[in-house]
Amino acid sequence: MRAAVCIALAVVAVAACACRIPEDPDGTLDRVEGGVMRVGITESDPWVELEGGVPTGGVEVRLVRRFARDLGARIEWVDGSEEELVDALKEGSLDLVIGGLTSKSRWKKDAAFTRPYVETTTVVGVPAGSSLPDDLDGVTVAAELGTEAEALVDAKTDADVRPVRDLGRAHGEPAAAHDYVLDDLGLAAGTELKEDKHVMAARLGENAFLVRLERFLLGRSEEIERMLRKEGRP
Amino acid sequence: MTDRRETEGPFRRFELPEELLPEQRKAVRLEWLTLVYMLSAVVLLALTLGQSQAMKAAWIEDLLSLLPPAAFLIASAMRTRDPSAKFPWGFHRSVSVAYVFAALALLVMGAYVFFDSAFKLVTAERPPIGVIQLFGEEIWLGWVMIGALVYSGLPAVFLGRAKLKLADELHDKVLYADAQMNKADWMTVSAAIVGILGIGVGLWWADAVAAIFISLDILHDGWKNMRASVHDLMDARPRRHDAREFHPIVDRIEDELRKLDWIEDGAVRLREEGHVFTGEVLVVPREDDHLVDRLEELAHHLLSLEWKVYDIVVVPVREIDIPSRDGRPRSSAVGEEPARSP
Repeated sequence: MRAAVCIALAVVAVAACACRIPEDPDGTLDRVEGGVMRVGITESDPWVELEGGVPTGGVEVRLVRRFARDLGARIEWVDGSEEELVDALKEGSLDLVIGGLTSKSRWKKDAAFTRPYVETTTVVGVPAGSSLPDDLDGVTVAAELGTEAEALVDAKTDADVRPVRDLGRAHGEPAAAHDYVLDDLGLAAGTELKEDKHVMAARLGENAFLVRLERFLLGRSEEIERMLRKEGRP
Repeated sequence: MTDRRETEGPFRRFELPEELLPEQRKAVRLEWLTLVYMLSAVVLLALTLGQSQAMKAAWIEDLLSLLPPAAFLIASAMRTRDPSAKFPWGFHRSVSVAYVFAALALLVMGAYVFFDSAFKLVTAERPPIGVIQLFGEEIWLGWVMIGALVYSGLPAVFLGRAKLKLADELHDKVLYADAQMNKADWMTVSAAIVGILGIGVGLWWADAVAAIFISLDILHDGWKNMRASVHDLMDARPRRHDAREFHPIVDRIEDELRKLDWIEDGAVRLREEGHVFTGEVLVVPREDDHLVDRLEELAHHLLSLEWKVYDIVVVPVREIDIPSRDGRPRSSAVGEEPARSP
């Protein structure tokens, strides 16, 4: 019983003390606030768009810019491959990495992912009002050459895949595409091929920073989806 | 020359005496309650698991604490089954088998959590804990974890106490081990809470250290129970259900033998078969008159001493060749070749 009282007191003491819960072991949030936030970026349309190593747009770039404004931080962009960036993040040379990461990413163990802040799906888009068989038997579906979607259409449906360089040119015909570009292609959602939960990566254990970022991202989903439809325009 | 207490039917159906049957039913009810409640705790912890090592350790311990109640319930259903041609000794040992499995599971999982946490500590892996959305509020997941831990730990302590009392009355090892584990659950829970609070204030290593403490506790439980269960399988001399001391029944039977003047020398060898004891009593008779009657009477008498003694074979011999209970070789009573009868 005495031990239980001790534990209860410890919980209350920690909760009531002036300190912030959770705290960063390395003080990332304190350093970034009013200071510099080092953000690793890697090209991933429509999340991060780069030109010559400088971000020109993308949903995540815009979100991070806004987050930095909230913190009063200046951003130092560092571009590189995902692996380079995650390694740097793990060692503490970066504070945040973005680039279309999803909750299924293999970097899961090397970085602290935020809660998914938006979900996207890859679907077979069909012309609105058309009635196609559920298994899409005999239907020709356009898919971007060399993308995951191309293989997924083949594996999950009986459709014939037509690889194309640019989906934008296949306007109006059945195509495997992300849900956020369907409107622009003049299609309605059909068979779902894949679901992606998008996350950003913070440094492992820097929980105050992580929680601050998650609070920023959560509750913005509508806004983010709007942004996505705009940025994702083919 | 085997004997069995008179009951209806060819075999004794119940291992337990009538007056303990209500207690047994109560124990079964408590174990069902434990099973359902622990299952809910396991699900709740799994939902809030996150990447805390201490939390993972506490979860694994809860998961493992499902085993003893399950073993107890399975064994309770099996132990009273009649012996068959295939299993001529009946099913009392099902309890021992359940016990070995439960103990091995404890040991393996303890070792796993220990090495996993030690590795994370050495490689300085820092546990990330973010926020969760609950009822439209964003809460730090750490608080939710602490709530789940308290839910999993607090009632277990009371269940443990209630079962400990029953285990004493029923002399039940599996129940006893289970009660001990539940009672000690508050230690696991406190360690895990301290670990999460540690993460909360920025001490990333507190989590792994707490997990190591928990794993040591699991390992200790596992080792203790593994030892006891292997001793059972090796037919070691019966101990009390809490393993503190040898069961007094062997001494008592030897005392009884000494009281009888038709017996020159006698020895007892008992083994545990799950909840009950079986074994042999060797006697060197002074004379052969009415030997069969006397042996039968003796067997009846010995069986009536204690309900745990389930089956006893009384064998007349010329010389006793089992070690005495203090381990010294016995001075032979008769100077003949050791020849066993009947």
